Amino acid sequence: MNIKEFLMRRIYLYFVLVTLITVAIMFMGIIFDGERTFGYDSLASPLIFAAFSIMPTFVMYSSKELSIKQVIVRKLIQFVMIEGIVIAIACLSPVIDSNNIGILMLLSLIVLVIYILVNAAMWLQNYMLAKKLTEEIIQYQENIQP
Amino acid sequence: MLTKITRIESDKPEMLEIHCHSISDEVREIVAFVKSRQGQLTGVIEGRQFEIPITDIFYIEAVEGRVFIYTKEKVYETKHKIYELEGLLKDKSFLRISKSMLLNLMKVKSITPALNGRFTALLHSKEQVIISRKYVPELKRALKGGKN
Repeated sequence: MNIKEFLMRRIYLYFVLVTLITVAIMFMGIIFDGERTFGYDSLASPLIFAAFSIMPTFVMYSSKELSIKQVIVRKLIQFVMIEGIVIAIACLSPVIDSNNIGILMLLSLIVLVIYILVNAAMWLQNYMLAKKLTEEIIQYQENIQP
Repeated sequence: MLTKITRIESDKPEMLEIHCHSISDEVREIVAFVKSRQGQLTGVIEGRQFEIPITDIFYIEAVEGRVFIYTKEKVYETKHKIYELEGLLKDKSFLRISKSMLLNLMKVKSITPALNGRFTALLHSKEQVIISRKYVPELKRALKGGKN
């Protein structure tokens, strides 16, 4: 994958993350702190979390194609880095009670769920492309076949 | 090398005859080009030469400096480089799908995504080959009639 294609995919990934983080914050807020009210500035938090979470995904960049083993190792490193960054931001945030282990564990779980959903979204995108290519190949064969 | 073209009567068979000091790579290339124009490639199994109809070829792969032609049941070795074959077969539904492989699009049954961002092509022979992501735009173009 060249750098341009890689960056384009990061932008796509960023907006998927913003959406999923917004949903996650909504559910966490409803469960743990339903009465709290926020100012407009809190709308920036999904954007900030997504921006920090996108940084570790750069470990996936390689000018050469990665083998499946390399992909798995890099994805593990990426996941651990994202977990670390999100927990660190949460601990620094005055909104989240970092002494509450339950909240931190739930946050880790949410990161895992979002990570799985993002990867599923990326795979779905490839699946749709593969399906389209299959249809086009069948059409191509019908056109060429005497 | 001198080139001589002689017109013959229409009832006589057309023929290309090469007079050379040795069968060099250049000569082999000319022969392969002529055969590919006629819809055939030459492959070798255990020292024996075979003419392979291009329509029987599923894919061609370079492995450690050697190039192999895969049909449904047999694997032939060829002396040609993969880029030479790419040039010879570009109008025959063959497309490069990775650094080392040419695929006959007529032999593809379906395409599925692989884990590492690549794609897998399932062939009518039930074999699977990997399509590198780098070559997907070219595949899209070819299927839309931009090539072949």
